[in-house]
Amino acid sequence: MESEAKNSGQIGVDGNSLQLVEKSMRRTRKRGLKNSAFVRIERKHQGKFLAISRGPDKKVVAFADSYGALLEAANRLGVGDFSIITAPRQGVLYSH
Amino acid sequence: MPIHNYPFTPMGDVARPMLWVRLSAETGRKKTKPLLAKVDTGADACFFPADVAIELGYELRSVEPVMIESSTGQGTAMPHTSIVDVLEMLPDGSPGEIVLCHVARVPVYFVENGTSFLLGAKSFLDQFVLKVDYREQTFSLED
Repeated sequence: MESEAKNSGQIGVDGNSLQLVEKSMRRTRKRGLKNSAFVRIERKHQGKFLAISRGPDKKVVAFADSYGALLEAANRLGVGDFSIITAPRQGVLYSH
Repeated sequence: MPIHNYPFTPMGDVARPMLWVRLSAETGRKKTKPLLAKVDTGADACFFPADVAIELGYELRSVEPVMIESSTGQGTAMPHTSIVDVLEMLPDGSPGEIVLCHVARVPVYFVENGTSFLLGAKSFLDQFVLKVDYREQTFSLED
């Protein structure tokens, strides 16, 4: 059984192309994915560029339509090091 | 250097062969953040969004643009020779610091309004024997 990813609040919005959010990765007990963490990607964020802060408190920190806007957003958040992926279109992002 | 049993990355309802990579400019001075790129045997070359080239300090239009075709339509891309470093994947799925494989002189096509990180054949996958184990959900890039 999965529990919803917690959205700990929107940090800021800059126009329509950029949205900064903070989401915790939650552990799932879904069969076959027991050690995976997941975050539910809202429809408006699916297929967008996504920055995940690195370290023990792994969090999705920003979504944006363009790679350049995402870099700017994540740097502005000042969360330290982060990595970048494209958010899946199916709605849920799993991590091992 | 070969890469053995790199785990698939779960994405939505499917798991895919993807690699954590870090792109560098040919000079090696500027590097990207770790990027999760799809291993795409159907792609003729490596394709990344044009903004990545700007991050690497390339003058995007200093080369002749080429027209490309993808499943989503036609587009314009600018090839710039780059370095692709494949990073380890940590047990939690995030990228580590260890470089598993260093591939130099890769013509990366930087796509205007591109939305994907794709690792294709030309000068990247064609350097390896790619083995995909869908049952175990791992893949290997062997010399």
